[in-house]
Amino acid sequence: MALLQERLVGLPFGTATVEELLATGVLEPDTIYRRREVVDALRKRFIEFGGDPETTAEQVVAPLRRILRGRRFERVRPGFYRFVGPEDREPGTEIRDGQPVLAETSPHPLADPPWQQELAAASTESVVIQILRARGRPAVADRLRYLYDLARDDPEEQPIHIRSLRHVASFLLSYPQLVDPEVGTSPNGFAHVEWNLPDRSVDRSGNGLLAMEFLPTAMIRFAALSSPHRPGSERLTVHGTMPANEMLDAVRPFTVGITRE
Amino acid sequence: MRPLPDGDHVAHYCKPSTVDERGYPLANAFALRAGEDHLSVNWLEYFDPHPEVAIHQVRETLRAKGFELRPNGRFALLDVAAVKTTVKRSLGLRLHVNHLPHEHDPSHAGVLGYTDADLMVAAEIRSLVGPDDMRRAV
Repeated sequence: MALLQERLVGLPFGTATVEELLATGVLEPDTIYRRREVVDALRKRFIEFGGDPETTAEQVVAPLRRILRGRRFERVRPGFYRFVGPEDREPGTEIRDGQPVLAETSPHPLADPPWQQELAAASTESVVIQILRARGRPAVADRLRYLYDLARDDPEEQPIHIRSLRHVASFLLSYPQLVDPEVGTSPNGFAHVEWNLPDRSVDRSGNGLLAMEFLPTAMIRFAALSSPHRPGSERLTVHGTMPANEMLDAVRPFTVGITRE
Repeated sequence: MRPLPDGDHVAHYCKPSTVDERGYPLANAFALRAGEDHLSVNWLEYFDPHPEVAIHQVRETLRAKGFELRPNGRFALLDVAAVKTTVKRSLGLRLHVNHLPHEHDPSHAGVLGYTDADLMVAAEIRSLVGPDDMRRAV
C-alpha cells in the first residue's frame, strides 16, 4: 500500500489514477453504483492516500468517463453502473516513473500502430523528427528541426523536453485527420501547437484559435476560443488540462474547420 | 508599480520559437514561465505617442542592455485597456498592466495577475493581435 501511495502522490488525476484506486477495493464487485457515488468514493480514497486534498469531483469525472466506457463497468441505466471488478486494467493506463505512460493518449489502445513502439524507443529529438517526417508530418518535422536549431544557437531559447516531444508526435500521428498545426516552444520548454480557426462568423471577426501545450506526462493543457472578445457578441471558449481523448471531446466544436476530409 | 493609462499601449517581444512562419505570434508568446509573475512588456507612450518612433526606442533600449533581438522575432503591440477588459470578461480575472522601470530599461512594464489558467489568458491576449499590431524585431 505504501508503494501505491508513493505512486499516487503528486499525480494529476487521470485514468491511470482511477485504475490504481479501483485496484484498492474502493468499490464492491458486482454492485450497482450511481456515478456520483463512484466519483465521491474515488476522490475520498485519493485524498486518503495523500493525493491533492483540493481535488474536486469535476477533476475525477473526466478520467472516470473513459473507464466507465470500458470493460470494468456495465451501464445499467443512465447514471447507474455495475462495477464488474478491478481485474485486467484498461490498456494504456499503466503508471511508470510516477506518471501515466504515454500510451494513455492512444485512441486505439487495443491495436497500437507500429510507430507507437518506435516513438516509445526514440531517445533523441532527431529520431522523433524522423518518425514524424516518415509518417506524413514533414512540415511539422521541419518546424521542429528549426526549433531545436534555434535552441542550439540562441541562449534565450530552450529545446523541447524529449518526453513532451514524444507526446506531441504521438498525438499528431494518432489524429492524422487534423491538419498540420503551427508549432512552437512554451516558456517551460514544452511543445506548443496551435491552429488558427477558419473565420465563419457573421462579422468576420476572425482570430479564433485552438492551442495545446504537451506536458511530459500524458496530460495536455489546452485553450480555445471561437473569436476574440467583442462586446455583445456570442462566442465559445474552453480551457483545461486533460488526456488527449478527453481533451478532444472538450474541444470538438473547434476542430470542425481544421479536420481533413 | 504605477498602473499604465488605459488609453496607452505596450509592446511585447515575441521570440522566434513563439512566432509562426507567417510572422504572427502564437499564444505561447504571451504565456509565463513557471515562477514568473508577470509578462514583460515595454510602455510605448513612455517614449513617444507615435508607435513607430516608440518601437525604435524600445529596440535601442533592449539592445543597449545586451538583449539580442532576432530577425525572426517580432514585437506585438497591445492596447492596455483591451487586454484588461478581454481577460476580465472572459475569465473574470483582473489583470494589471503596471510600470516596472529598470535601471537600463525605463519603459519596462509588466502584465500581472495571471493564474493557473495562464494558457487561456495567453490565448485571449493573442486573439487581440492583428496584422497591424505586428512590428519587425530588427
